[in-house]
Amino acid sequence: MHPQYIDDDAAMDLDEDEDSTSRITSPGESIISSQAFMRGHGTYLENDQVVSSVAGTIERVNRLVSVKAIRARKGIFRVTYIPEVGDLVVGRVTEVAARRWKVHVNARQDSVLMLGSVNLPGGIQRRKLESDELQMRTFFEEGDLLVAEIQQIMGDGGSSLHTRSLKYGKLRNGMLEIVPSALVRRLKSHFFSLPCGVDIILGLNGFIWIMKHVKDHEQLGEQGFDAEAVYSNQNDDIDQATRGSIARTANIIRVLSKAFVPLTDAILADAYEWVMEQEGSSDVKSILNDEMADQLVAAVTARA
Amino acid sequence: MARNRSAHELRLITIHFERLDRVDGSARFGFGDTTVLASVSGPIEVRLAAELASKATFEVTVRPLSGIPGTESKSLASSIRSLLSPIFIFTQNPRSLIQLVIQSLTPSPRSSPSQSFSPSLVAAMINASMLALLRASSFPLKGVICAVAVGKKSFGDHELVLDPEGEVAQGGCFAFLFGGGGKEEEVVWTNWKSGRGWEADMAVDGDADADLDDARELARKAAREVYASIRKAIAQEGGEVVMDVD
Repeated sequence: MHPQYIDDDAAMDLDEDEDSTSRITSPGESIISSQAFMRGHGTYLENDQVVSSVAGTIERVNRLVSVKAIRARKGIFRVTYIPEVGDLVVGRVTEVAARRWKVHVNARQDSVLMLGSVNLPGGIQRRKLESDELQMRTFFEEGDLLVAEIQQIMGDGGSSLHTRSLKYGKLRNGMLEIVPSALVRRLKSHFFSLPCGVDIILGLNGFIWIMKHVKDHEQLGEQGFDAEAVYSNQNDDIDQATRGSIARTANIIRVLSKAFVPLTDAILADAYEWVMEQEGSSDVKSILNDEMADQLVAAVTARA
Repeated sequence: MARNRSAHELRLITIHFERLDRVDGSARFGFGDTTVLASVSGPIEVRLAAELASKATFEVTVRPLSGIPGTESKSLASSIRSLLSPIFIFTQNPRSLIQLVIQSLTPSPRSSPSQSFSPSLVAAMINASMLALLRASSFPLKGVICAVAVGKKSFGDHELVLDPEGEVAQGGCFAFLFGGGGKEEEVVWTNWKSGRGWEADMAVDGDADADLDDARELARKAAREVYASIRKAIAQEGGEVVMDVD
């Protein structure tokens, strides 16, 4: 009446000649003897047996046995971002706390941005005053988007950010596109311009900021560091053509990320060029329909 | 309420992986109408007072459907914490927190206005917690714990009944540890109550110990079915599992 709850091959018989077929396992189940096999992620050793420590599928590569957790199975890439020192990330402020902001960067924990790690108005070298602590929302508020660099990783995996560069700080005049973090590789520069008047910031956490181009001569120098401009919440006027370019770029990124194409400046420039060459490129949404999307992916991966 | 299934039959088991935002794993488990939602996050930042230098800290919160969590909830949370602790490998993630929150989705019966948790609700809580922990997959575990309730609806009853709805006169929830292939599952916890003292002595059945043994074996068989449905849910990768168990 009751079904056999445990498989007959509870002590798994890994045939070394065949490819391992997907075998579901749960914590505590013995997989194989550790005399002949090494243990990998998702397992632990007990009584000369490799035992699973997560729920998932068993994977074997030669002599290495590991268990891939079910969580990782949805889609090929892990979804949460794992921060490392020096990474450039785009994040959204979620909380204003004592002398710090909590920033959501799509990692396990929200990142911390200390008040002492931002450039304060009145010049880069200006020291923090008590009045700054009480006026933190004049710099960053809940909901603001910013680009920053990971400064430090704490013992429990949390990270802290800094915006101590003229390129970093509050973001405006654009839109956010979110892709799996694994698609953004570490490049020499994560800021680049497309020929159509669009600037892109590729955050390593998968947050991509697409905005109206900032002309070089309008870039702020040290002397010109002015709070009004840098922490302003006012967007510039953006004309229809630029809006179209921004939207088109966002659609291209969406299409490429669905096809798991890694994102770099060269690939995005190629993709944009290809889209402009197609008929009906004036309709910004045209790239989203399946046929055109597939052609774009094929063209871009062929050129790479 | 009339029971329209056999004495040794579980209600329909429903398992659904909720995908709650901002927690690492969440799941809903139900024996028929008795459903519970559990969510777990970890390893995450731990407050200084609770930090342990060489191990992770494990905290459990139980919330009833209505009302503020009171003494009963705190007591049950403490029991669930100690029954689940053995399956963790805490030393892997020192100085961090594994936080489990259990939300009952079943109203308490009108006959017992105090916030009490019926044995099948407790069993559903343990199973939902286990599913959430498995779904999170962010810390190592040494086994899977499945729980089932057994009881007698009133003192005069001769027969033990599996998965009783609501409160019982005698009975409780049994939790078994699975994993370690081949070995029989151990009972890791029970809140079996055999009666109200003198009434139990007066009971026609007599042997309270025999009752406990029978109840445990009955629960053991049913727990295997729960384990099977949990494994099926895992295999379906988070899809909805509705299993008719007979």
